[in-house]
Amino acid sequence: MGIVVGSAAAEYPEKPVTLVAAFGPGGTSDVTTRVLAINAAPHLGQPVVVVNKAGAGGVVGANFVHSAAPDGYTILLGRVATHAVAPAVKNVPYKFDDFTFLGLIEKNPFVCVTSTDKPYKSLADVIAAAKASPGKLSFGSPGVGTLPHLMGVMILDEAGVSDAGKAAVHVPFKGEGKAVLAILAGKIDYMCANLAPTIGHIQAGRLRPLMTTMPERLSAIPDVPTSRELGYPKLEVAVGWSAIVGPPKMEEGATKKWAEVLQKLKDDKSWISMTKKLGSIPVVLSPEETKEFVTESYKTMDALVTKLDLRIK
Amino acid sequence: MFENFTDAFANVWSIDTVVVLFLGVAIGTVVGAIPGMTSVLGVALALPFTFTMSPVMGILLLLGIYKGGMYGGSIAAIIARAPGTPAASCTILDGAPMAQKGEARRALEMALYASCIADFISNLALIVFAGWLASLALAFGPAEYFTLIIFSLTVAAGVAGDDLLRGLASAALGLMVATIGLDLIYGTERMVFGITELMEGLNFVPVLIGLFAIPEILKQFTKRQSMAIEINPLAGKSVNFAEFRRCLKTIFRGSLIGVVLGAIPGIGGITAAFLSYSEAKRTSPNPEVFGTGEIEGVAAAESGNNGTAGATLIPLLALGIPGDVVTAVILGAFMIHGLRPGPIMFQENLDVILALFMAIMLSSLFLFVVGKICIRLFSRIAEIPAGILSPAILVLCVFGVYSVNNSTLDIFVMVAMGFAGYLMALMRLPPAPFLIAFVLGPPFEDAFRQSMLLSHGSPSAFFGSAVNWVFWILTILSLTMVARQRFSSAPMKRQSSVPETKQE
Amino acid sequence: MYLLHNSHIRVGASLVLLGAIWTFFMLPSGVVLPARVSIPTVAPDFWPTICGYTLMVLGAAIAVRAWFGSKSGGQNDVQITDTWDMDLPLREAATRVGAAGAIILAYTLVIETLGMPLASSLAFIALSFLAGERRYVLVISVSLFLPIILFLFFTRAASVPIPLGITEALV
Repeated sequence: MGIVVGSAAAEYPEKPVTLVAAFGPGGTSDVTTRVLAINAAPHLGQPVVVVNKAGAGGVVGANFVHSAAPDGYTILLGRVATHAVAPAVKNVPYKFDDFTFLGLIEKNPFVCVTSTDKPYKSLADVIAAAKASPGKLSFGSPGVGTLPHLMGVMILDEAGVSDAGKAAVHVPFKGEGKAVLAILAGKIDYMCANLAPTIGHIQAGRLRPLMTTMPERLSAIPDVPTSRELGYPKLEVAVGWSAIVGPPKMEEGATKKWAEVLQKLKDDKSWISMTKKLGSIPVVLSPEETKEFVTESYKTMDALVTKLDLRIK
Repeated sequence: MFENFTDAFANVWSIDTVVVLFLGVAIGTVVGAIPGMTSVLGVALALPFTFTMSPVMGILLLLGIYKGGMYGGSIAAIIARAPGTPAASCTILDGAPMAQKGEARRALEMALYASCIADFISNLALIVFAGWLASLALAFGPAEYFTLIIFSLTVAAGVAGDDLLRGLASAALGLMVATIGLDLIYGTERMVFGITELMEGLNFVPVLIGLFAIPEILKQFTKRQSMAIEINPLAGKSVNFAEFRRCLKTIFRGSLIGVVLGAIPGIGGITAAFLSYSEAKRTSPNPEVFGTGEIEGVAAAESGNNGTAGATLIPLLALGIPGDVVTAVILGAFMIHGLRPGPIMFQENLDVILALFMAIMLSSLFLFVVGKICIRLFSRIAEIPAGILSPAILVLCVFGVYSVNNSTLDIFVMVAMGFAGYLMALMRLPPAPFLIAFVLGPPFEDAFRQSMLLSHGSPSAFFGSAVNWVFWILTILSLTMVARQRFSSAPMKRQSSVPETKQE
Repeated sequence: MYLLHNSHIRVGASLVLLGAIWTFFMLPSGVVLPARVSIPTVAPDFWPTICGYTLMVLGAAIAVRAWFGSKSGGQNDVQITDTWDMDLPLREAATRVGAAGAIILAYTLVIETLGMPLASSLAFIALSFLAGERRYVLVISVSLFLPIILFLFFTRAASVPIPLGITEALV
């Protein structure tokens, strides 16, 4: 498809680059993509155009980029959902590592919360309740086979609750917003979610944070214990991330250019500040490190899904 | 407090802010008027520009687009029978027949007046009742949504047309089509047949446009090309004051419905428009004229959907919960500026809130100005000969529908729905119940299953709260009224008629 | 064959048929059932099945009502307001609608290869002529300007990557 203009002589990029957002407008992923686009453009020397290709939890967008021309003009903001969780949980039309990894840009810390109207004061209370009466507790998620879904089961499993998959009822919602609303309304007992959509409610005293999943405590909520402190270091796998990826075997000129852009982005104050305001932690990794990181993330999810029997046939 | 006010005042009354808000309303109206392009795309595109603006200015740009888009949808609905935005689909029912009779201008004007008044009331409600209505959102769990949607689905009976059975059958078809996609609870495929793009289900923009616009285009080909344009005595006629006054009650009722439904996250403009429409029809002395080009129908639909435009900000500002995609994008704009909507914002950034409140009142006025200009430009489009207009609308719809998710599959969906819609028209199945069912079907099923999960399969879930009972009572009332109306008017309509053998 | 002359009965029968196809053929093949379903009302096919049966019942009701209506001289037959004004003879109208449908279908099929602007131009000309428009200059000029303006608007103002197909080299 398309006509290859010029050859190696022409400097990449000669025209605007399309950055595909695998989720629709209105979510953290979409804003992250647009923040990246506007901040990367000056370093790239060409505009970065965000195009939404939403559907099936990011699989449609990822598949679109996977089969795009590898000329470097169509790239994707890969997420934990598109490259680790979805390939582990269900059949997707691409292999998670059959992409050109250009660089990780950020991590999204997770926080497990309950409503302040609920009697649970700590994670231990939730676990005790799940042990005392299996199947009575409920937890929410933005959809079946998402990281918050896996986390809801994994917490119980790590704490030694027998038959963790049935110890609490999983109630999926269509998107993070609706799940957060349900926990605010006290309809579900606990949920693990991105920090971004919950932090406001935590500060307003409506949601009670129980645990975070980064190795260190988060500066926004310094009183909340980490999973490591609580004795569940394995829960640290529950971290969202975003990485720039291209179609397999992407042209070398383009790959190199993006590595340079990311190195510059690393010290870009405007990008760092916007990313932090969105509740994420800017972490820029080199292409090799990114590939390693993503592979690790996928393998962890795959093992988890197998262990907890959560694969969708 | 006073300091906040003066700060806010200084914030709003800069010429930049006013210009940006006006620009937003204008962009929104144009985007809304293009079938397929919705305010979602408009705000998503404008979002990066707000990063470098002051918070108030940035948010106002997005709000302007939102409000303009909500109104702009009615333009395409009336002129092209294609809902410019999903919320405008109800406006088609009476707006399009009016345009066909050559009364496009009256329809457009009434849509504008109803929109502006409803927008103003909605903004007022936001400012005065934000705290009180916000608690409403927190009373809604899956079971409450379920009963609310049951009530809204009975609305389908109000737009069922002449034949209740056919209306219900059309609704059943809508519910069936809405089940396509990945299963919410298990993540398994339903009617996807291995097509990845179908996993998210059918996008409702192509479905709506296909259902309304394409059959109309096909229908043109059953007619002889009229060589001379008939001059309608009403062409170019404006809404007169008597008509406006007659519709005022409907507009207020529609606004009120919009405000309440807007404050509940996830319900949105379409439901409000149809609810308002069917209420207007029910209380009208001549319900039979609805659907044939009744100006009050336009007023009802447009006041209903624009009534949500300010109220959707209630859960956003007061709780930090976005009720729809557009408010979710606006939430993103807040966050980029380091602001977190919710109770904290009312304490720490009261100046921003007050500035927004003041400026938002301006939006209704701007809407009026922009609308007046658009009507001047657009009201004569309906006079373009069908041989040019119909193909042009089709091309416009193809471009617009593609832009929703940059997908050619969506164009196929539109065309397939269009052919299905044509068949439905031949079978005299009205499209409006299909549409309501298609829109409300998924949240209905989701809420039902989530409630069942939470109650471990016990139906007691649906009787657990006061909100549930309120909606059960409303549902029963609504059904009784439909039944009474059907049966009391039936004898008059019953005529001995030969079984229909009309050629199809 | 008297029954089939009644359009209500035809409509009812087709709805029953559609509901049956949906319930008995499409659901079993199109809905993947998970291995274990704890609550029967939460099963993925619970709600679609209800919809299918509802359609069958409604279709049957339409047919039955028309059947009794026609027997008793149309007493119970509901009057349907005819909004379907058609002033061409049936055969001609059907041919033209069929042709228009075929053009629209072809239009959607060639969008990816010919590109959206070119495909739109061709479809516009074809439909316009089919509709009986004979002001050739007008038709051709609109067919050129409209897709170009839309293309520029969507790509430049709305950053939508409109597919160009074979016309990509021209831009």
